[in-house]
Amino acid sequence: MKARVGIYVCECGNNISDQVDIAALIPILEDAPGVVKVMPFRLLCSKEGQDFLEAEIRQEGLTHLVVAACSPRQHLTTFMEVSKRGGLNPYLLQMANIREQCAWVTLDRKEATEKAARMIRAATARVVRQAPLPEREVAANPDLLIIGVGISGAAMVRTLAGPERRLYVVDRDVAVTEGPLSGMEGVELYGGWQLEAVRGFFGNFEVTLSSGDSKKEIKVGAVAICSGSRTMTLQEMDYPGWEDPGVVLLPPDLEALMPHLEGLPERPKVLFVHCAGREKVGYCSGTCCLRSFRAMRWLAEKVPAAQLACLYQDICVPGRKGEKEYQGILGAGVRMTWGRLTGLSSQGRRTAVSFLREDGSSGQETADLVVMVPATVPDPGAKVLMDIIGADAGSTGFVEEGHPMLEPMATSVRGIYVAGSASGPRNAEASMLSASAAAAQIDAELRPGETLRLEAQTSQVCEALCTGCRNCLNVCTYGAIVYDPVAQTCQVNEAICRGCGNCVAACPSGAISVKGATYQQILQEIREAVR
Amino acid sequence: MARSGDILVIGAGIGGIKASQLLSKAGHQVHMVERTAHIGGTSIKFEDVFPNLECATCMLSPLEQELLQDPRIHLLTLTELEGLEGSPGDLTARLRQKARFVNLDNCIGCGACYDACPASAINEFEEGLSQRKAIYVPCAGALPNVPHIDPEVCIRFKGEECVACQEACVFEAIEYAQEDKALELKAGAVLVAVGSAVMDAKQLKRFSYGTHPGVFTALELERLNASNGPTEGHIRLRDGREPKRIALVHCVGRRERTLCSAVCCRYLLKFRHYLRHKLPCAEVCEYHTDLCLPNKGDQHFLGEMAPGGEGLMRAEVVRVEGEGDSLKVVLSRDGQEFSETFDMVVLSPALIPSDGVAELAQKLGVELADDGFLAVKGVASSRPGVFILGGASGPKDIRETVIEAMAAAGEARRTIMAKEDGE
Amino acid sequence: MDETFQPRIVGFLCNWCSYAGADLAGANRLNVPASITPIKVMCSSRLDPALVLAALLRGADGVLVAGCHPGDCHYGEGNFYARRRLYLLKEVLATLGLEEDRLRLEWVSASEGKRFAEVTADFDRRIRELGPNPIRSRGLT
Repeated sequence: MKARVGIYVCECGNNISDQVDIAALIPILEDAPGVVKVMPFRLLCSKEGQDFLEAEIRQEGLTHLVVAACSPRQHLTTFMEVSKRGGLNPYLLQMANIREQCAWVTLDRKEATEKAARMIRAATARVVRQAPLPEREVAANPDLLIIGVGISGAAMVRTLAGPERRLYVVDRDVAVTEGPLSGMEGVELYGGWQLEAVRGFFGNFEVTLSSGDSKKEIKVGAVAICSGSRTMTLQEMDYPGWEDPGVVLLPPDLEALMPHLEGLPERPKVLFVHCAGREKVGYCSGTCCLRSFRAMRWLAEKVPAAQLACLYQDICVPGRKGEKEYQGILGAGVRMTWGRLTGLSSQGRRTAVSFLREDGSSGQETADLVVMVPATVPDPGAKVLMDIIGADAGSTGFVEEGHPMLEPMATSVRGIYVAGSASGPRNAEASMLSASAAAAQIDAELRPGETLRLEAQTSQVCEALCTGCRNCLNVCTYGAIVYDPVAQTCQVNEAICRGCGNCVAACPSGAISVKGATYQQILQEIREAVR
Repeated sequence: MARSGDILVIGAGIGGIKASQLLSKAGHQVHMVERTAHIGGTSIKFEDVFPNLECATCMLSPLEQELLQDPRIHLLTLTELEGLEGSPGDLTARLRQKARFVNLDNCIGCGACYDACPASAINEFEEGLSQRKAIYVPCAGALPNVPHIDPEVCIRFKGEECVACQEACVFEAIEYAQEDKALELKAGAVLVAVGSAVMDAKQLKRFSYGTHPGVFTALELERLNASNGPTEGHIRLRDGREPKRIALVHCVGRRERTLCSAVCCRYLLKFRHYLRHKLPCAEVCEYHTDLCLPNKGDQHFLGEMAPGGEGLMRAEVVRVEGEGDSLKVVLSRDGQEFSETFDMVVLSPALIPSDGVAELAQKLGVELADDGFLAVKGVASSRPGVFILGGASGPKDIRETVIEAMAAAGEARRTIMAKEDGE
Repeated sequence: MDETFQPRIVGFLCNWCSYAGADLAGANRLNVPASITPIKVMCSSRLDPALVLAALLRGADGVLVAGCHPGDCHYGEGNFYARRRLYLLKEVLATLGLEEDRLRLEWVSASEGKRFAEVTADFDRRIRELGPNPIRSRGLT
């Protein structure tokens, strides 16, 4: 079918028409191949402008549309909607930015007009090479796999359980199957099971679970990693002398400290050592100072005669609550000493704590009881889990978020979410909040009964040209390309592809192309641009 | 017309934006109410954000554009809440929208009106470092890219016959006759995302902010560094000189306000990057008492910004005194006092409750915490159906704000669904 | 310098950063040389060296590729790939009788309207110094 391109040049009030001689442009544009109509209009983004364009598409039987106006970043969506309303596939539209990148930046009117002509002809040459693209949807499975039922996992189950989606819950602890979550509607518990394999993509994952020799295949739309964290052990921290009986790890339940307080002298000196293990892990665990201060307060009530002291490197108590506790501790006379722990040793019935000061000199404190406040590290199963899933774990071993600020509940793989302390040290309250956030995001992105809209401008491989070199696969950030060892060619998973085009540039055979930015489209645009 | 399945979000900063987008994705109609004339909140004042030093505009601008084009998000700028009645699932919000005096549909953001306007005032967005006209957008790139007239500055509103902006506008977008409007909306739940404010450093006289020109606040430095800022990104003293010795001061107001503002250690480290880039010959000394680096990547960030701890010193700044053009910074360490001289001192003032939050709390019918932030349990306020996220309940970074935004959105949805189930 | 020489420079701008920066230059009414025709790509990593070559072989006097600053790429690391490819390509240009300076790679963020104006002005100046693309002047296009 012969192309019928309509070019509409917006005056943008006077913003474009003041600098670009639109009348002079028209004959130059009418001359371009495939063009059947060229018309100026005062303001195309206005209601009148949009209605006008819609009518033009129908009346002129346009096969392609060029809108020469402002930046596509402002109004591409607007004109794509207009195209749809006019019965034209929205991907048969091209904009020429003759306002921000021509009229507004070119002093000389003649030059501005010539540049506008070039830009619009380039857009026209490109648009006729554009193909209509369907807006595709894929059926999505609303069911969810939750890995780990600690604080955040359990919170996610309670939030998302309901008649509209099945929740598969996996935890290596066998007791989970008969635990407090059993009997909930739509919840299947797999205590004593683990994740073996994950295939597929967001909305359509195929998961293999295993327990001993048994295997189970399930289908889910998304996966939530709630594998949690734990604190370092004394052995792992490995400070010289850590086996000394006067050294104890700050327990999660403070009552577990009581046995260690028996047999201590009348006015026992208790030294809390913060940042224990910090050098080994390379990060501040963020939650421990507050935990320690609460423990100090508890201890001060249980043993009023105790002398409390604290060896620390930094006090990290972001927010309102933490600072109150800290100032309370200072007010209660807890002695704070800056120091980097180097070792522990027995001194009679006491324990000596050696440390380095900031100036490099050595210091020592003795105490009747040394409470080590340990670093938080990822759950031991996390590494294997991340390898199976193919999501990024950073150098710390914690799960990397999709974006450190804007996507804290997502991971590098679309459809795999993370909640709780699996992505970093987090106290109970923060874990619950993050579970609530992850649940909300999953609920919004994977809605029962709805399909998932796919990116239209994705890559695709021409199998005839593909040599199976896998260059494309290697450069794809999203893992959207898979290699078929039987066909010995690559294939693009269009549900994951984001259309960046890196694979296209990487392919030595020209076998892969990205819709909406094909070689020919860009080439034709270049030809007009250099004329 | 709003229905009770709709959700009201107060505040269009990053928290409000993320919450609204999640709710829209889930199928809800969202009404966003923003007090100022633009969206983006505090985050759009930054050039880069920690910890990966990503360009803030590149990060935020696509989100903002998406929000403005989202058919399910109805944005009301220059609007504030007047009252909230009803019960969760069935709330009625009374709003007051100030006149913009510019037609949002006609204006295309060409800026011809600002050039024509004869009246100027201090630009608050630019922390007072530059001027703006009576009809203005706060900075280049602010969205929506439509100005508004400040009736306090505009000479027409003071009785003079000026039509300069209207004459300059070819789109007939200037409408002097616009009036403030009272609006009413029905919503099932309300999210409060009004952010925090920064303490006025003048209140801490010992730092000489406001009395000596060499003392700056963090936000002033952000705007000096910003490519769309008052100096196009050149970091200069107020008289135009390039500073040679710069002191960065942590924890300003921490003890007085009894809170750790959570973001300052990291942004001051980020400033090392700005200063290294813009003033490579300047000497930078950073004075801190603790380093608050709560996230797993923050210590690595510290190592990049201050390799080997260079330029960092654990010492408390006792006071800052002017000495002619220079500043004497008096420090205390291990009980000893000593001093150093600088030509620029940058303070990190504590984050405090947003302006007007006490009145807002009253209108919302929610409680305040004893330090003036909105009281919360998680993201729930004291009133069912009203949720608080981000800086409104305490100092937070963008990440924690986004987590709370999503959690609050989820809670808001549950409130609405509970009401629907109950019916 | 030949005063009649009207350079034709192609500017490949990535959708998320440099194209936005170029728009900002427009919003601020800065000066951008008329010699540069912008072509929008989603990512600088889309720039197949073959496309850049095609531009030069069809007579472009200069090719500017502008992407996000390292670390800011919307798609992760696309701009690193772009850098690698284009620097390799520069080595090849000499074999075609083209000066290395005719191809330039720059990082421009969405807030750097001024930088975009400066980079384009500088590139335009350099291309004018180099003169017309030798392939074009030999009448091969």
